[in-house]
Amino acid sequence: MGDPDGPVTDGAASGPATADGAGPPPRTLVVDVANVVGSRPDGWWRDRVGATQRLLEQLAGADLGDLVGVVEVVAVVEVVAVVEGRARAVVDVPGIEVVRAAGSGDDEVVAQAERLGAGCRVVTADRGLRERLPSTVAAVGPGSLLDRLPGPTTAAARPGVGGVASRPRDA
Amino acid sequence: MTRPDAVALRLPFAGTWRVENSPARRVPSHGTHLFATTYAIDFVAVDEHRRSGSTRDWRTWVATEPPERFVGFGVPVLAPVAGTVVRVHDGEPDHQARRSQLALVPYALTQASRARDGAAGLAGNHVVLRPTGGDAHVLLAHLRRGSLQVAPGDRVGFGQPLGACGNSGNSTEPHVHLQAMDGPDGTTARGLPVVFLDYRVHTRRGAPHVVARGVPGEREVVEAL
Repeated sequence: MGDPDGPVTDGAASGPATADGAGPPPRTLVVDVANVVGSRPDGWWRDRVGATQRLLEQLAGADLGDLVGVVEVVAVVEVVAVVEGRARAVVDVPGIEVVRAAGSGDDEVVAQAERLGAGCRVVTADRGLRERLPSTVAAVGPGSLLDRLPGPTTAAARPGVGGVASRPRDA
Repeated sequence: MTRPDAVALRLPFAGTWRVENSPARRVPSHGTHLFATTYAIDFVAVDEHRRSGSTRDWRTWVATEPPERFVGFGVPVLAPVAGTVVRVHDGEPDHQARRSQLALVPYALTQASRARDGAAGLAGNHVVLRPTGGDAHVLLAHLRRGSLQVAPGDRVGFGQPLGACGNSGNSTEPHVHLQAMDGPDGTTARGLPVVFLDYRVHTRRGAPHVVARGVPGEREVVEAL
């Protein structure tokens, strides 16, 4: 049991969530956009580009300081949003960096995590992707990100049923 | 849908835990509104066989068992949200555990006297956090004696260790009791609904599934993402 990653599930492998541990505090969020879009049932399957665009605009206006898990409030959190497939047709949004994956979105997220190192945190529920991240990079789930976005939260929250599953390949 | 004022939290531990007394099953979840437990939820650590204790013998059925027999005893309890520690209590003993109904009989009789002892008698060793940017308070109770790692005034990030799962206070076996309330003192505060972000539900058959935002159901086995 236990993921080898994630801020809650493993402090040792992911680096501590606090500022008093080793290494620089994480300040960049790398977002697996397809995974996050897929975790809220807002009709994204009918309009993938539109749903992705909505998420990017919400990301740009959000206060994401506590998502990076540092004790002090972080004034600026950079967001690197990785989009893939048809969703690459989105238009850029000021305030965040939109990266269009040439091939697999997972490969691009891993490449970004490797580039940024311990200074970043990846948003995805995808277990396979999490296992590919560098050991110094922690992951956080899409529900935590969606909870920080402005506007109504559309992730389902029916008691005992829970929200919608992320992409089926997470298992 | 969860009420919009639900306090959004992450599961306060690693590993797999079975949900008991869930507000998804009934409200008030613990059979009373007293002590702000209206939406409280309990978690019992389980192994890969969904069992909370690896050893079973005659003591399991007719007597008490040492808390060390249980999977959860001593497992780190983590901050479910970033916030400020407003209250801690330590020094309460970890009881012998009682899985058997027989042993529950004399135990139940102690409830009234525990209630008279106030928060320490009920919650045992505990931590109260105030999440950043809100006026809710979150209580984590029944922690192991001597395990508390935070003090009032400490700022904590989510996932930061607060203490360890124990069996102090009003607890029949080692577990984590979590509740949100509108003030720091459970004897005067009202309970607030909670919602959990990013957890995996392990079903008896089939693949686990991920929940982005929800309230785990009674006896579901959950794990933080």
